[in-house]
Amino acid sequence: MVGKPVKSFSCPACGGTVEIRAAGHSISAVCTHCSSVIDTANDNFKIIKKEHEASRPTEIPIGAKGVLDSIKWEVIGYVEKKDKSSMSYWDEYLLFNPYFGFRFLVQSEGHWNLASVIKRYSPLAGSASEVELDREKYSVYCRGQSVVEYVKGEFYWRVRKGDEDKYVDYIAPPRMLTVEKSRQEVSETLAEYLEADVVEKAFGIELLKKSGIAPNQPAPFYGNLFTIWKIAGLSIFVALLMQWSTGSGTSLATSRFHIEPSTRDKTFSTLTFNNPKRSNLFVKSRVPLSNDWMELGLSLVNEETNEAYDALQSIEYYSGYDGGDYWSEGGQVAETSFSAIPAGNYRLLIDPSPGQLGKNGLDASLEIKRNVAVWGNFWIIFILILVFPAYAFFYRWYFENKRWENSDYAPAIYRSGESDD
Amino acid sequence: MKKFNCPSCGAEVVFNSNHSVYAVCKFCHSMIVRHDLDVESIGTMANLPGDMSPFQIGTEGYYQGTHFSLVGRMKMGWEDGSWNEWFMATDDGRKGWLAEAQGFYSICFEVDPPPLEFAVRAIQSQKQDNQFIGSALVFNSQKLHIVDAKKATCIGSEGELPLAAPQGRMIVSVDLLGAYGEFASVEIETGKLRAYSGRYVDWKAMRCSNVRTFDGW
Repeated sequence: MVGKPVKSFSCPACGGTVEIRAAGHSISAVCTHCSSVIDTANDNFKIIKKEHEASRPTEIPIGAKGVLDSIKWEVIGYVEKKDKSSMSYWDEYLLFNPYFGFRFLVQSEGHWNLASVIKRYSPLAGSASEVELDREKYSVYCRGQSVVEYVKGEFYWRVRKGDEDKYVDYIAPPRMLTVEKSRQEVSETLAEYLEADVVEKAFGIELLKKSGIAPNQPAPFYGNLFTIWKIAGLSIFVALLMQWSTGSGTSLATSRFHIEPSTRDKTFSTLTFNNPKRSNLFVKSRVPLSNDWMELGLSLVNEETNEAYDALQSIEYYSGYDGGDYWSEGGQVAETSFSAIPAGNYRLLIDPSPGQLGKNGLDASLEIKRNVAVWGNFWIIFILILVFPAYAFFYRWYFENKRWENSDYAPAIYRSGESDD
Repeated sequence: MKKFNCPSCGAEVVFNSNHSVYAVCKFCHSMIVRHDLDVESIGTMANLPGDMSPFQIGTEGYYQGTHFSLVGRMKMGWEDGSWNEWFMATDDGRKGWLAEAQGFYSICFEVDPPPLEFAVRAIQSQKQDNQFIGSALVFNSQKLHIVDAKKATCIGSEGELPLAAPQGRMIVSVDLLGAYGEFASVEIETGKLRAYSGRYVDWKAMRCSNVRTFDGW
């Protein structure tokens, strides 16, 4: 059986045609021509409130159809409400689908929510400062009293301008639970935040820009903050592992040489060694000096290209007794790094400039290692890894602060900037 | 399943459910009451007002794994609107109803015999008027709260039903709701008391077939 989706009747006030899209459900309807409110619970069509004004346009027109939450909806009613004390205004569109029933599409400051009435009884909702629904905790955000300012379309309840309801909003972004108390009943509505472009796409319209932060607007990095920090932690761990596995590097060559007064100006050379892959090279020299100094001019020469990398090592070591206490200064070891040395065959030329140098000379030794872990690099990586998570963390904190700025029930951690009035 | 001939027009009247005692003839709209062996006509049913209900007689679906088909409907009206109560023939032979109001669906089964104490307390609370909404009652080891009480009148009926539902039949109905969507209803008709227990269900969860279709939907 195919049903007729629209029923129409003549307005008892002005005679104009009024259409009913949710026949059997709608018990009041507003005449499109004269704005009178008509009782549509039965076919007597009594006038509830007579008016003489043309209906005003709404952002989404009555009769518009759009898909939200993968269900097709028709806009059948519109209510403009205001909060009695804050004087803020918001729009509630009543959506209908003959199979899925009703939803509310709510607009406030350009922020949108899709809401449905839920059939759950929670005795504390409305009075408690926190309520639980589906294992999620909702915190009270606002208590107020709403007044119906304007109506258009049709409704499954008796709608009337000036109707007042007490309401309490609880939030668990991106959701919001609203408990409304009228004289007859208590109802609970569960809303979920919608991006405005989803509404625009659904109804093929352009909407006003949003402003501020909505009570249940999902925070930036919503649900991701933990993941972001987990990834950061893992990255640091991996960097550490790489650092450790690289460790103290691979030895490429060792060399010993004897420096004595007669060979004071001699330049020594290591044997040819091969650096298999671009990497850093570390030269660690050990000279057993005592109360003396020495400078080693190092020149790392590529045998194929003759390119040279130069460095200077200074070693000095002094020690003695002062008033019975042993003291020492300097050391007998020097380490120099050459960074990013291309692959190839190399020799290291050592040009020593000794200090006093006893007549027996000295036995110096050195070792050349490649790919030595450099902790400085690690700390740079460490900081780079943390930049984004830290940004996410602070931005999130700033956002939550903003969110709770408009609430009288902000959690203590977001109350810092609040004045006492 | 039992078949009779309409005492008024002679057309075949089928009682699919053993619980059914009343039917409206599809052809002449005679209201037929079933006795042990015979049927009797008690008048004529006017046309039901049109609505956007997705259901019709013959719609099938599932509730908690049990298959049901809708065999009759009672349309109830009250001060602030109307709702449909669809009588279901279920594969497990229980006496079930699918109620449809304001786009919400609930399925409940008659509790037989009615839990008297519970019903009496529900009605007593209802008489205390203002304060009774929200009061808690335990029923079938479920904690339920009274959410609503109203006087209602039968606007019309179709198909077969387990009770006679002529136009103007008056009841008082008290609805109870639990924290997880459990639902119960106590219904008082002069001299009779009935109780129903079940829960709210989603449209999708019922996996309905043979539903009504609407142009443009």
